[in-house]
Amino acid sequence: MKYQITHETEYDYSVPVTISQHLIHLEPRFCSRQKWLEHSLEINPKPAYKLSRKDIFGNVVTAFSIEDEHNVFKVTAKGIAEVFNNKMPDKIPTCKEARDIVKCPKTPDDISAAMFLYPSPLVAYDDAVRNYAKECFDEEKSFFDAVKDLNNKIYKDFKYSPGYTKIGTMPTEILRERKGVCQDFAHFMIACLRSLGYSAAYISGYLHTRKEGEQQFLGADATHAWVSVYLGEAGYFEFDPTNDCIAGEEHIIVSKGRDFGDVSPLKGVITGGGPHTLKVAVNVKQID
Amino acid sequence: MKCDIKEDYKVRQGIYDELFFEDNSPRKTTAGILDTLKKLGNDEVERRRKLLNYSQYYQAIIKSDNEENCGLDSIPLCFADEEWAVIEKGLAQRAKLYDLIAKDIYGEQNLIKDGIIPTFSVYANPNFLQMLWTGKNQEQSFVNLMSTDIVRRFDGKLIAVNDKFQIPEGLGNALENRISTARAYPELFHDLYVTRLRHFFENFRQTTLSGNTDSDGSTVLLASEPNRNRRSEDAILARYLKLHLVENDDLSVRGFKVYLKTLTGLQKVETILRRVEDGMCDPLELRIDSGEGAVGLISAVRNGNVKVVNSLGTSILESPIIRAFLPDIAAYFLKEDLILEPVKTFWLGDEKARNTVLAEPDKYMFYKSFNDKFAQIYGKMTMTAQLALVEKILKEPENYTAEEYVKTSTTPYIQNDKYLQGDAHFRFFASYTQNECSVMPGGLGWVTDENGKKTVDKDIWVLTGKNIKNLPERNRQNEYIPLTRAGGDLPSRAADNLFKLGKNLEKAEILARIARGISRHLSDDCFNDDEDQISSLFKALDGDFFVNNEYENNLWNFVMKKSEAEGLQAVFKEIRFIAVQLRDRISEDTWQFIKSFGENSLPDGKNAASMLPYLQRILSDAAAFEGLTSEGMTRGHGWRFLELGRRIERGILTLKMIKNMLENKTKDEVSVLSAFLEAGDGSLTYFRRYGAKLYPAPAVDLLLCDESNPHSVAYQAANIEKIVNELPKSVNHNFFKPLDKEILKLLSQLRLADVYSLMQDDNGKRKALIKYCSDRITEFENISELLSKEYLNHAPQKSVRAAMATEV
Repeated sequence: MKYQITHETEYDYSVPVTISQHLIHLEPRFCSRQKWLEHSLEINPKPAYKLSRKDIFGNVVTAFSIEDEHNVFKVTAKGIAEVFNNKMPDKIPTCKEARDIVKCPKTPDDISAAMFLYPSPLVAYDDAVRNYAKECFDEEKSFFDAVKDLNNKIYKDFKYSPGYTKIGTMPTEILRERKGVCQDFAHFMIACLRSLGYSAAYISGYLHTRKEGEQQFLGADATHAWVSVYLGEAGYFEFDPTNDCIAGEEHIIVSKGRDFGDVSPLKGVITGGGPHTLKVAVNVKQID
Repeated sequence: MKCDIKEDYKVRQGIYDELFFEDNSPRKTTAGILDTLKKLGNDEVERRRKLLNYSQYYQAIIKSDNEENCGLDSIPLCFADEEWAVIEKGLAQRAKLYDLIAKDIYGEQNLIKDGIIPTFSVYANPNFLQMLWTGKNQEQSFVNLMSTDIVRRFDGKLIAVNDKFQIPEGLGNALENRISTARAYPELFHDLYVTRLRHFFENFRQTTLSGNTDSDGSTVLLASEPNRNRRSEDAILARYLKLHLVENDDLSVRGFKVYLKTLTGLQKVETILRRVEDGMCDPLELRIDSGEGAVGLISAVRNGNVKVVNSLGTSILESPIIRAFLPDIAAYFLKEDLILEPVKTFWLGDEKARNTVLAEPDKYMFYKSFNDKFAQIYGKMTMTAQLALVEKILKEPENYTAEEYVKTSTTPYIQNDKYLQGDAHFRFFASYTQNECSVMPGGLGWVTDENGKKTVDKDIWVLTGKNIKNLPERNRQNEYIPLTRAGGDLPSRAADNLFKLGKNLEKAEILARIARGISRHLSDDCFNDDEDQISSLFKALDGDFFVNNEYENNLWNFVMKKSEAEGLQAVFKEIRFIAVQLRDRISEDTWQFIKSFGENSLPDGKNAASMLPYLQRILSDAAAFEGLTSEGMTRGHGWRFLELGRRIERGILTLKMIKNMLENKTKDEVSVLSAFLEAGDGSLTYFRRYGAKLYPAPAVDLLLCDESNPHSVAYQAANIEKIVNELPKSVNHNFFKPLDKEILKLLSQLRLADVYSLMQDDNGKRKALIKYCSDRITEFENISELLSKEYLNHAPQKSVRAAMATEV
């Protein structure tokens, strides 16, 4: 599937900002199931300095500073992406195998999967999380089926309710409240998997909403978040607990990290500014 | 004090003592020291011991409340040739090894790929700053300055316990200890050929702290927040290394380069010696609440535009879990054994190690794997705590690391005139640049008592037995040094602190003078006649100290009570607080003076008479200090801000005094006027000019409008104008700036004042005077505000956008 994507973020400050420094994760990473045919980034006012690099997770991070006084700050990311479904893995490990692969890593891929194996700043967990997840897993059960069951369980048990949580709401709290948004469900599912010794990564990106008459996906035309698990030789496979599905050609990947903190689309520290209004517009249009 | 140590002190059998052999005969290094002490005699030794603590850092003016410090002990811990050589080699090896570890972790990660360390030790480690990972081993050293803690096991073997890289604490402390001992025992230094520290610091400054490329940038010391305990050490180091001491707000990152905000603008920074933890260095990429670093610092580092010493990211090297693999890593990288025996350390995530440790937990102390701050010594815990710990370990073994508990050597120390026995600890320091390691010939020693509580510091001496002349300074004769005169490179924050110091010094003087007036009258016989005078003086204090008619009590509260937010002691507290922050740029004389300002001739009773000598002393000290600064300070911008602070404060306080004391016209104003002139230090001039009879208008004129009287309001205003004209002007403004206008307004109002009409009253109330004074006070305050805005606050309040995120 081919999409044209526009992602606009605009800040209107009530007091001029004299200097601001930002860090963005808006440029798409390379990945096997999708191709970016073109991509551009427009920043207003023009940054005084800008530099992109690749981080340890393989994302493109851009740091820039705006050193002219400004009242409005706008970032527009535009691109055309061709996206395919996750290929069904041909060799699926059992739960035990999936755990051992990262516990005693052999290949460079195994080692890098270990980056997503431990608690991270926004994914902490406890026994309650572990107990919640446990019933989906069994030593000899197919790891793929187990994760799918967990995905489904979270979808059924948790209520989608925007505005209730905020960035930094921990999985332990999400479990108590049983509600949240896609970011929370992704964090929670990652916590479940890591608490049992599996590697799980946070994926941020966009979701394409189907045409009229078809099922509406939650998180329509907005940034979205889901989960990627490591299957060893078969590589990574993605699940979307918010929509109870395997992430496929509707899920457009931008970045991957341990949690939201690693891939936050836009952050910054500004001097001045005062109260501000924020406008975000995401548009995902299918073009063939 | 009795100082025949040989009688008092007995070595414990089977435990190595730093000073004595098992038969209580002194070790080679000790004999010389004990001989000299004996020659000096008891009284002299005691005198020296006092001297030792006088110049000491423990006397630092912020005495931390929670830490009881017993100061520096007279007898140093000594190391001689052979053993010192081992320590030097051992530290050099560790510095090199740790540097390789950091380069690998932030680069190729072969330690993980080859299974030398578990993925857990890095990927689960919050001290691993993944944003600094580059994938390639960088050339520049991560480790530039290291401290290594060493203990001597009871059998005499030296054991390396841990190493610090972010902020090797105690370096400044060791330096101060050395300065103190060298001053107290010059003959020992001479006779024993104690190796000097100076060369180490010079070398550190010239190599490690020198920049990478162009030399036009400056080197700064990024200090911790002013209320942190280590702040006074920061100042000591900055001063000794001749670096600007800066705080986060002094730095600004523009175009991925770091700049220091100075009075004249931004000045490029080449090297930062940081005294701030990793996580606190950059709110943009690290902890969003990191208050001590500079926004964008990491970008500047990443672009190679600034060198940070030690490199950011080195906190991972301090993780106990890394120590557990140190011997393996040494074998892997260096194909060597560790020269200094490492303390046995086990990561409990490993099953075999866990079984070994849990079989005999008594022998160990336990750390969280990523946190070396807090250790639990199993043998010293209660049974319940032990059980709870084991349970936690079994549940999450990977989160724990065990370190063998080392029974250390003993050393005598003196406390309450007695020789006691304690455990000896050593901390050594090394700098490391481009594979060259230099170990400081000395260190920080300290002693703990049987409960593990820290008692005294000890200096560490390295005795070579020969007289090594200090190495010659590099020949700089041919270097071209551009001449400069007291320049604009004064950091804005330093200027701000000098400004505040000036204000508070002036305030102390004025308040003390008023209080002296009160205490004089109270201790006089004819006090009953002077009720008006005393109550008007209390009004001049401009606080809530005139609570009732218990004058003496009120006065005591004002002068001595430390808990008061308003009184004299609060001013002294503020002065000391500011002085600590200025420690790096005030002279030794000034420092000694400020340290004891307000602490001399303390009153021995609560009555007015006994307070008199104390207040007298404050006033003479203040005058001495004024002399010190006017004689000793270069007329640079620093001096100007100190002076501006003084002038503004005196202007405001004098106006308040006029307003508060004379707002009501009383029937017999003579006593009030006499008190007024005394408080404003104008009596002498008045009587010379006008004779003995007191009239309100001339008295007010003298303290308000007379520009020739250095205590008048007008004099302050005129001087402010003069000084402000000498400050750097930002841009070519051909018109008057708000600051100039405000000064002009104040000065004209003072010159135009018609004192007689101001003194007119309306039913006893001098409304014109009240309004006039209030207006001038506002103008002074505006000037102060405008000065801050123009010169001192280059950093407006930051508002931090946490994560500007938009997830659904």
